[in-house]
Formats: sequence, C-alpha cells, structure tokens
Amino acid sequence: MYDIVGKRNLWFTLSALLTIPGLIFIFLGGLKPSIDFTGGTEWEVRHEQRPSADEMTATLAELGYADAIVTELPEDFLRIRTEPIDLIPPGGLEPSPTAEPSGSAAPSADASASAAPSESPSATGSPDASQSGDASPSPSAVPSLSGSPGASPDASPAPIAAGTEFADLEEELDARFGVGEPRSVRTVGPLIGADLIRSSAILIGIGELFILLYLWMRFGFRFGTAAIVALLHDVILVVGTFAILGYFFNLEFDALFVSALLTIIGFSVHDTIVVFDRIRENRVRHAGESFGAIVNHSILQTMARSIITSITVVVTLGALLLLGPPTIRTFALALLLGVVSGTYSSIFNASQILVAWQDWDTKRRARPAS
Amino acid sequence: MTWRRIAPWVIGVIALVAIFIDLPRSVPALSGLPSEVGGAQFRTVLGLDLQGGLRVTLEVVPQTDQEITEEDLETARDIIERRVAGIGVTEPQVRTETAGDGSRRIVVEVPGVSDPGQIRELVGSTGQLQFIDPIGQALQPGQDISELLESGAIRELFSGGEIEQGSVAPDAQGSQVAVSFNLRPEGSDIWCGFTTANVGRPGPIALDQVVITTPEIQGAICGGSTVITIGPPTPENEVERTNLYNTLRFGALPVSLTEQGFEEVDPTLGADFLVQALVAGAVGLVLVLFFMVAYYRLPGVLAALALIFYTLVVYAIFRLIGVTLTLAGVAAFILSIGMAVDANILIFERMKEEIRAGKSLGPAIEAGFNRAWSSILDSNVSSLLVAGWLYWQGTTVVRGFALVLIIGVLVSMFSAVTVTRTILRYVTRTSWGRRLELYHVER
Repeated sequence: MYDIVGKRNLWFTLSALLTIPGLIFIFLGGLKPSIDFTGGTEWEVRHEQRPSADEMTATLAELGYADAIVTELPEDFLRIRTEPIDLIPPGGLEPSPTAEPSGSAAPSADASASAAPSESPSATGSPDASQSGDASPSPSAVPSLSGSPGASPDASPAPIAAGTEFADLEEELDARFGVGEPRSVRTVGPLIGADLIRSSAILIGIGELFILLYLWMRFGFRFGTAAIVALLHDVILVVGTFAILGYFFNLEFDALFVSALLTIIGFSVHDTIVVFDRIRENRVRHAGESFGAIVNHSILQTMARSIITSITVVVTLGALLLLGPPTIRTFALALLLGVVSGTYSSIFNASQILVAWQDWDTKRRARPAS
Repeated sequence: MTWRRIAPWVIGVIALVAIFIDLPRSVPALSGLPSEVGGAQFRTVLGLDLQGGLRVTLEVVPQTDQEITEEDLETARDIIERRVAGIGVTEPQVRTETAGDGSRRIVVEVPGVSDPGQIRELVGSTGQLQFIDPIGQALQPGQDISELLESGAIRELFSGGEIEQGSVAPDAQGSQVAVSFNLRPEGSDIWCGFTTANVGRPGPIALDQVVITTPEIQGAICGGSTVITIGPPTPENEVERTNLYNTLRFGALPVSLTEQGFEEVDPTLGADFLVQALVAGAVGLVLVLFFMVAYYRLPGVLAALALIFYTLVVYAIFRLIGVTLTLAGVAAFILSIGMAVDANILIFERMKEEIRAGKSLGPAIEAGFNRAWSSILDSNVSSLLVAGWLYWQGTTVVRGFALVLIIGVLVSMFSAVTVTRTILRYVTRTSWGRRLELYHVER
C-alpha cells in the first residue's frame, strides 16, 4: 500500500513551494484590480482605421487622458480604460434632462397628459379655482403665478455640459481613426469600487467563518481547523497565481473573481469532508491501528472519487475556459485552479495536518510522563 | 416502502413537467403550447450582459438632516421607472439595493436600448424640486441659488415631495396655458402662509438648486391647489408648459441621486456571449456524460440519465421563477453540472468497494447509498452555506450566481440520490441488470 502519510514533509514542502511565489507577488502588487474595484471607464471599440494600442494611447494622452490603458483584443478591437469619465454628478444636471427628453418625447408626454386629464385635471382644473377661490375672491386671481417667458431660454443652455464628455471623446477619436463601433461601455464610480473591496473582504472572511463553524460542529475542533488551513492554501494559491499573472501579463481580477473564490471555498471543503468522513468511519472500524495508518487508508479509499470528481469539474470548466465568452475566462481559470488545488490540499494538506497534529500531541503528552 | 413505490411516478411526473416548461415557445412547431399556466409564466430571463442593454447605478445621497425611509426610496424607484417607461422602452427594471456600507442604491436596467444617452440623462437627473422663499431677493430663472441657500439669504419652503402624487396636470386658464398641481397638507399649510404674506411678489421654484421659474403670486393659495399660468398658447409657451409639467411631475424625487456607474453592452455582443456559453456548456455536459458511462458502465448510464434529469429540472426552475441568467449564472450552471455528478461518484465508488469487500450486488448498492449519504450531506450543506451567504450579502451580479448555485445544489441532491437509486432498483430486478461486469469492478 502506498504510504502517503509517511511523506508528509515532502507534501508540506511542495505546498510551500506552490504558495510562496504567489504570496511574494501579492506583496509586490501583482494583483491588478479591474475597474470594478478601482472605479473607471472601460470600453471596447473598433475604429475604421484599426489603430494600434500605441497609437490610441498617444492620441488619448494628447486629448488629456494621460493614464489611459489600451489593450489590443482579437478582431482589431481595442479595450480602453481611463479614469471614470462622464458620470452625471450630484446636482449637476439641472433642467436640461427634463427639458431635453421631453422636447423629443413631447408626444409621449402629451399622451400621458391626455391619459391623466380624465381624473386629475378635472380635479385641479375648475374645482381648483373654486377651492382656492375661498382665499382670493376672483377666479382670475387664482395663483396664476405667471411664469416669465424668459424661463426656458435661460434654463436650457446652461447645464448642457453634463453627460457629454464621453460623447465628445468618441467624436474626437472618430475624427482621427474613422468611425468607431463600440461594443461595450462601462463606468464604475469610485464609491461603488470602494464598497466592493470592503464587501468582498467581508464576504470571503465570513464565508470561511461559516465553513469553519460548520466543520467544528460536525467534525470537532481539530478536523475543522485542518480543513480551514487547507482552504487557505487553496485561496492563497489561486490569488497568488492571479498576482503572478497580473504582474507579468496584466491579468485583472474582477467582481466575479470574488464569487469564484467563494465557490472554491465551498468546493475545496467538499473534498476535505469526504476524506474526513472516511477517517471518522475508519477510526471506529479499525480502532487498533495507528492514526497515521487510518488516515492513509482513508485517503487511498477516497482517492478514486476525489480524482474522478475533479476530472468532471475540470472537464466542464475546461470547456468554459476554452470555448466560453472571453469575459468569463478569468472566472473559469480561477475556479479551475481552485478545484485542482482543493483536491490536492484535501489529500496532501488537510489530512497530513491531522496526522502531524496527532503526532505532536502524543509527543507532548509523552514528555511530561517520561 | 411506500416512497419506494411512488418514487418512480414522482420522478416521471417531475421530468415531464420540466420538459413541458423547458420547451422553447419560439420554435414554430411548439408555439401552440401555453407559455403560462395558472398565472405562472415560463420564460428565460436573460441578464443584461447576455441580451445587451444599459445599466445605470445611482447612489442615494442623503441631504443634511434627511433620514431616508424605505418609502422615499420606493417613491424614487417608482418615479424613475415611470420616467423610463414613459419614453416607450420595453421592460425596464428598476430596483433598490443596499450596498455593503449600508448606503442605498437604485439600479436601472434597460434591455436593448437604442439611445443610452437619453436614458442616462432621464434617470440621472436627480430632480430635487424646491419651493423657495426669496426673502426679498430678486431671483432669475437659470440662477444657481446653492450659495444663497447656504448663506440663508433665501430659504426653502418645502421640497417637491410635497406635491401630491399624480396631481400635476397641464391646465388652461381661459386662453392661457397653465400647469396645475395639488400640495400635501403640510406643504399646503406652509404655502398658504407664504403666499398670503407675499401677494404680488414672486414665488420661485428651483430644480436641483437652479431656479426654473419665478411666477408671481396672484393671491393667497390655501387648500393646496395651485395653478401656474404661463401665457398665451404660443408654441414656445406650449413647450414651456410641457417642460414645467414634466419637471413638476417627474422631478419630485424625494431623494437626491448621483450616478455611480453605468454599463452598456451591445446586443449582438451579448448574443455572441450567450452562444459561446451554451456551446461550452453543451460540450462540458456531453464530456461528463461520456466519461461517466465509460468509467462506470451501467451505473454511469444511470448517472447520465440523472444528470440529464438534473439539467432539465434546473432549467425549468429558472424559467418558472424567472431567475435572471447572467453570464456568471450560466457559468455557475455549467460548473454545477460537473459538481452534480459528485454525489453519484461517491455512491458508485462506495458500491464498488463494497462489492470488492465481498458483498453481493443488492446489499452493496444499498450500502453504497447509505454510507455515502453523510459525505454528500456534509459537503452539500457547506456549499449551501457559502452560496446562501453570497446570496444574502452579495451584489446583484454575485446574487444571480449564488441563486443558480443554490438551486443546482438542491436539485442535484435529489437527482443524484433519489433518481439514480430508483432506476438502479428497477434495473437490478432484471437478470441482465445483475451481471457484475456491467458494474466495472476490478477485483
């Protein structure tokens, strides 16, 4: 029978080798948050003259967007990322929104007006006069708060500036590179980004806590703790890999990455639970054997299942990674790494920690006795 | 015992109902099928990223001394929905959200938009109306009064929230065009006091701290009904009336909003994504089915049937309760296909072990199911904990993903355990179904 438990120092070393580079790159700032977290404007566009990323960067700098990041995509599309532009500021929009759309949507406003008169204007129309008439005797003197005719010309031209910065920029770019066809535009304000960072941290932290509590409840303190250490291994491996890829290839992580991490947390624990469940069962059945031997049995017995389950998940995620839409690929990659790492860590970390802990415990107890 | 008897029927009925719900009504041959039974509609709701459209996220900005109530938020949501629906957009979705730090948001989603600019402006205009007491100051339309308000040179009488819902209407005073509206009791009292004391002087109205009109008060207005007369029915005055009408009617947001994000996806790009995701899902599903059959033989075939049952039922639930399928949701669905067979694998591996240990087929199958159950339960509960937490706390995108995962986990527990077990019981009653080589056990 293959002795996995006996080589546990090898597995611990291997895990360290897998996670430490990632940790280093996390501290080197390899993690590149997408605009979901930082706030910003990002759009994908293809211009008639198919400018290169460098040409686009230079032009954007000229137009005042010095820190724009331009990435080339397949089919000559460019992804452009800048500081958030074109957000409608608080109180920055005065009458123009109501004035402008209503100008173009005049018929619809009329339609709703003609729908309304049946109930309300009759109520406000003549009874109005009589009601307010009690205060001011003559009906003609009803609060004809006469609007000054100067109101509309004065009100509309002033605030038009809002909401057109992006349109202006598009026009400029169209003028230089030919007509562009944008296929997606996205702006995230700084408030939302900051909130997402905070809520993601809370989500992941408390998500792990839930798992820890559940495992403590079902398997006891030692098993629960070992499972969480294995879990941290998986999370660090995935985040670390993204830090490395971010450092070298500018791979960004987005809001979905947080979901992926949480799914990994759930899935990685699946594997650990299956192994632990078997250890618990074998402890009762093979009461005479050493703990290490029991763990070794249990791992070997559940190995086939762990590997096969991983294969099925890897197959589906692999299909998603290779064939799925590009926006979902980082998500699939994170899950794929997490699933493989989860299977590995349940066998080579979680179970080994249990044995190491048991060893350390017996030694500690033996010492005062001797 | 009784459950054993009715289980096949229950499974059969569920499968048939699921197929009935799943069948696409867009195919001509199937268009005759009802897409609604007993008030429950069957439709696939696609998220913005899959069907294209515009999403605007607005953050609620509390004014000084303002406590934002749920009611205020709901009113604002309602007003925005009517604004957007007013320009003839199909199925706009406007909903409120709570951010992680407790601040409130309103999210507007408009599928398949033609003019995003117009909608963003419509939605983004915060439209805080104020009735102003100029305290002797001469105000001009278009004037920014934020500083005057701050210094106390002028003051706000009451906000547009005091305008009674639905009371604003275009009006006519003899040959003059006008707009009329009613005030709520509280605003009306203030208005009455102010207008009584200021007959002949202007009673300005401001939108977002910019004066929009400075009508002259003709007499005391008590009782709330107010008419603003603009002038003779010239084209300019008609336009003016429409603007004022819209401002008063739709500008009466009880809260102030700032745009915090927008997202626009081209519908053709969304359609491309959908096709790619479906192809990936189909390929993944077929590969898993193939793998299960190749590796487990007869039980693998049953697991494959259970997986098809799973896919049908999960999709039917999506259509029945109207789960919005975003790209993340589809990804979760595809992932859940891989995870759904996990329970089957656990059971079959256990079954093989029991056969190897010398048990005969029948007891080995029962032992496989019984012994694997605690692992299946524990691992699925841990998944549900995480997914439930995600759903409870997450943002909209994350929630869609979590909901799909929750449905997937629950259905998979039923399909992998009950469905497989029921069919396996039938199969092992036949003589061919008991041949051990069909179970691929290496002794």
